[in-house]
Amino acid sequence: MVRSILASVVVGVFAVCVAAGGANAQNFVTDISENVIAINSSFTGQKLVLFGAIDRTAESLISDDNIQGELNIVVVIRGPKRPLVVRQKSRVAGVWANTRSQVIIGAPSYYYVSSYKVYEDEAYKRLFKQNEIGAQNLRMQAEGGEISPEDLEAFRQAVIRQKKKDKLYFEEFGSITLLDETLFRTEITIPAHVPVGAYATEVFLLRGANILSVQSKPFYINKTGIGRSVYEFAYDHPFFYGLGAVLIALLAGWAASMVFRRD
Amino acid sequence: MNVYLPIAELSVNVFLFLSLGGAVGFLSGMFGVGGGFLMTPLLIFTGIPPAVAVASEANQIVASSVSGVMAQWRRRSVDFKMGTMLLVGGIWGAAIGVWLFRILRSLGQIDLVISLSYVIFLGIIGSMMLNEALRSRRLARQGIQPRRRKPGQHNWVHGLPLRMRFPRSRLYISAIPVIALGFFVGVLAAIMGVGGGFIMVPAMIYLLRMPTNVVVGTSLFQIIFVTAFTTVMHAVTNQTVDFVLALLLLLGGVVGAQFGARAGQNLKGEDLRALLALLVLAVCARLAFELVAPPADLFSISDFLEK
Repeated sequence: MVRSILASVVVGVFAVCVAAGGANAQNFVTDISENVIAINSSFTGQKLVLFGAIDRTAESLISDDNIQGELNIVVVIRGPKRPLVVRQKSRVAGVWANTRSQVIIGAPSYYYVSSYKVYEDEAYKRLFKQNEIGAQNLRMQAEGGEISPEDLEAFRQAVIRQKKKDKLYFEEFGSITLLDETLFRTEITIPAHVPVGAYATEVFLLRGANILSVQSKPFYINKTGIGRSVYEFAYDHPFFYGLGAVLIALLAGWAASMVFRRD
Repeated sequence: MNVYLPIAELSVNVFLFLSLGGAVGFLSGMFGVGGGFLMTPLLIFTGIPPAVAVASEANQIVASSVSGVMAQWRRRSVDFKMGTMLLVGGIWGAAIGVWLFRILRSLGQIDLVISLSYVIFLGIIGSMMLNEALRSRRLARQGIQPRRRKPGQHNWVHGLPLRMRFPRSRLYISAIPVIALGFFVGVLAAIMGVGGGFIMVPAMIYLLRMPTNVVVGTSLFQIIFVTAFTTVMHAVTNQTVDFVLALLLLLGGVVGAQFGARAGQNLKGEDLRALLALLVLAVCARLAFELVAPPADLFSISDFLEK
């Protein structure tokens, strides 16, 4: 049901675009099911649907003899970049303690990649590395102080490993479905603890290891409702937030002693 | 049903945390203890960041201490003068504790310090309680009354200068150990998210020689102010007070405490203390194991905090 509605929406969007675009380079269109995701107090995560359509009659898709290979679609989503602290534990007097730390910049707070087909050849690897497609190809830098390339690599790997474990980095190569070689869709997991901010979506249309077209689109993840107000109040007016928290506790404690009063 | 904790930035199950509050409330009602020293480690076990667990638990203790002190106040078993002197030290202790907390957090050592403090204090208190409970149980079985210290007996504490009169406690003692005790417990409140009753009560009885009938009320009285101050300080300095979390825990806690108090009346004092000691030691062992067991990943990541 959802799928058929979606498909008809896509076809509709597609028809409009084809009519309006005419013979220009617009050889595919895409859209996301939501442009703003609101995290309210009952948010438990969400699935986003990214869908699109390829215009197989577009000249740019068929006319060039130099570009060989099969069509492929790659979707990349990046959350806002935030500096991270990576810490390394070692044994101190029998106890595991953080003994090294390094500030790492350049890592997206959220990362998602999916593709229609899976290729492993060298040309693809080069293309993916260039465009930071795949978590392993994310570029990160160390901030402050000298650090050896081996150490930076260890910290980078730690970020990727932890982010995957925390369900903030997703790699789902081969998961995009393509209908009639025209309509494609993919489902994106947005977990409950997703960082807020502006997200960038990039959809690559590839033939072999060549980029035919790229479309980018932002979407936003915001906190709304009580959750947002509480969070903002706690950071903007911490003193009054603390005072409020104490007052609530005092009232609750007093109310409890009244309700359960035994004498 | 899930609720989003705005400061912990986690979506959690409402019933899990209500029942966690209820279970710890039940135990604290049954044993007559605050429960902070059980709640904070349990929150950490469920995945709440330790810094948020400590600060939010301080917030919850404000509520449980208020409802506790009301009953004591009606029985006139609060020594307000003693409580105020303890507070003088307690506020300073909490302020320095929160400041230390901030530094340790930016150094990435706060989780370790919280765990280590718990292992040390739970270990000491648990084994002392177990030892004492087993001994008095053995004595009770042999029909011997345990030896009680007379209130008139003095120790080194009573030789210190700056003496003050505490009419409600019928004491004329130096203010120095009182303020020092308050200070020490204030630091613990800020770093461990406890009220500190488990240190305060024995110290009042054995060190200050206060009459036992005013000990609990006075301890609760000063805990309200120290934890209230700690909550505000944590909110200002670390932004780690999650009042939605605190609210969930105290709703469960209030109800649990009532049932616990009733259940406790059917158990013998020594058995009760032995049970509590075992529980304390179990939490201690779990935390100690996590400190010494090789971690699954030597690396961890966290958001960069501006210093």
